[in-house]
Amino acid sequence: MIKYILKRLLAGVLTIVVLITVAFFLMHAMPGSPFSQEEQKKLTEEGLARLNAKYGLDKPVWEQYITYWKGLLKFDFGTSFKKPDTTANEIIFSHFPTSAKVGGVAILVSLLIGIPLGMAAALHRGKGIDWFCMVFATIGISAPVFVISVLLMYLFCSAIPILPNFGLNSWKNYILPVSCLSFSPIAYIARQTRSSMLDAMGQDYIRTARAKGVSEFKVVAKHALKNALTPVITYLGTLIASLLTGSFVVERLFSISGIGRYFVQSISDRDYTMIMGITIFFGIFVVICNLIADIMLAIIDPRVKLTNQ
Amino acid sequence: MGKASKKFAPIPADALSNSIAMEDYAALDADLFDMNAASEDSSEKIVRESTTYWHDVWKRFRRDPLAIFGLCVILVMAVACIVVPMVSPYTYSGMDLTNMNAGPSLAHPCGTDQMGRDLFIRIMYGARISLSIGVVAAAINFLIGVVYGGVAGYIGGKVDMVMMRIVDILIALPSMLYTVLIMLVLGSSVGTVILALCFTSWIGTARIVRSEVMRLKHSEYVLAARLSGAKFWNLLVSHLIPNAMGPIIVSTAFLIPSAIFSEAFLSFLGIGIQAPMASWGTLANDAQSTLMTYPHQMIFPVLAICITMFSFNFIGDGLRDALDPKLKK
Repeated sequence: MIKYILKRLLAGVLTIVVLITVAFFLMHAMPGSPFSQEEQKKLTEEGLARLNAKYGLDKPVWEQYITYWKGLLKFDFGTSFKKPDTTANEIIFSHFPTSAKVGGVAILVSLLIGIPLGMAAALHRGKGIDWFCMVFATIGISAPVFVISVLLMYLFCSAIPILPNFGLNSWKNYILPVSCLSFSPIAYIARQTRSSMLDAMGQDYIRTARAKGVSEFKVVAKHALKNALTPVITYLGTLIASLLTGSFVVERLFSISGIGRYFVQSISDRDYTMIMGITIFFGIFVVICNLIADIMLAIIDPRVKLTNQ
Repeated sequence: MGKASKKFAPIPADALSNSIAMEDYAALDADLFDMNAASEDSSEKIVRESTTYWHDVWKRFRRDPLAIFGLCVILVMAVACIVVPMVSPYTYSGMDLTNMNAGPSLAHPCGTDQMGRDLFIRIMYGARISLSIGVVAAAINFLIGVVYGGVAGYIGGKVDMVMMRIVDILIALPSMLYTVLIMLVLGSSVGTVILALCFTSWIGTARIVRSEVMRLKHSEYVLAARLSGAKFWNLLVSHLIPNAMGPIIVSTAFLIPSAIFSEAFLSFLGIGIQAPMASWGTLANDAQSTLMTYPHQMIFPVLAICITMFSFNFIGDGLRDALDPKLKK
């Protein structure tokens, strides 16, 4: 077990190193100075040189790379080029909790709706609920998150104005962003649960359990569900990533001051240090989530350890 | 299965002839019978056209109504996005400032945008961009995936180990992060969008190709080809890949909608295709500010994206069922 965890950990660290290196050299491959033409015009030669010195831009690239690493090891994601008084750390620590709150609710909702929906579809195969589940899954998997978001927003904020369309002041504000974020995860989870549940219900041990006289509820809840849930846990890592991508759109549309919105903001500002800092933070976050999902899976399903060694 | 078993059920010829006694024949008039001329010459003849693997695939694919529906939608859209801009009185950048934000009408089937540009023609131009990005990105990813997976699978051993660890590292992060970074560095154009989309999307294909090549490389026909002196590329292109084509095609088919989705997503965030050109994502992005007042500007591009994604996904599902019936659930 420990060997397995260490292996995953090493892979995670390597991933982060690659991401940081790629991000750093991509940003430095960018033509021109990080300061825009207008900003440069306002400055004298000397001022520009001082600014370059302040951000360490006068040093060779490899030295900047090492400096950046030193900062990262102290958990310093860099200072904004555009707004010298804000650092990436501030943005991350003041806005990440908001995103995490919305994202956390979205994960809970996806699991609480997706799993029962998939189970119901599998247990009533070919009936109305199964049909509904499959149609929903097809829509949820094909329709991009921003399409769902603008449609829901238009429907419930403009056509039938019953829900607020910005901010996070009351529980009502959560309904739309969470629905948008969890729409396609619900579809994935429901489809995945349905197919693995169907698979599990056809196994010999289910027949044995029934033959022993175990009640149908117990057969489903204890014997089938436990085995049907492993693919859902595998999906959790992907879910985090998809929520991250979704948050870029949803937070911007619904004016939620989460980290996704600031990421998009710094993209349109072309604020490179911020983009790099937040990207690397996202990377670390996703890798940790994946690691947790892997370990959870290894605890629940001992076969994983063996096949991955 | 039902049809096949009926077709091949043996005709119990001996049973028939044994049950009728010889003397009964005498009572029957010879005129009652037709000489079965076919029996001698043509019993060995193959009446049905011989089917190939691809023939079978097409037959199975044809039976899937959703897949055929998807194929028709895509074909119609492809033809429309080529023909409509040629015959339409409007252009994608032509502004009509007296007719801004107009709703759908006979003159403008999808209305006009904030600058009085005809939305229908912009959606058609968007289709050109979105569809070509989808197809080109899928084709490039297919090539990279086949080469990478083929090399890793065929050489095997340490090379394979290293190549697969690289892939593991690349896939561990949401590809959107890399894509956004690349787009920022290279600037926004159709070419850079395609390039950015090719950074990680080939990995799925590469993994499939690798496992197929590993499965096939020890088969006798590959050994025979090697013994007769086939070089690596020849082996890969004319022996290994054709036999692994089914799963490769399925994974490539799903790359098209995912590329269209990513492009729309990038443009929606404002780092994809730039004005005055317009992909569907750009149109949706432009319509964001007027969503509450002029919803048609959002609804039509978004519908176009949805219908296309559905159609490609239906085609992909149909192909998967047709190419690999074992996977059908």
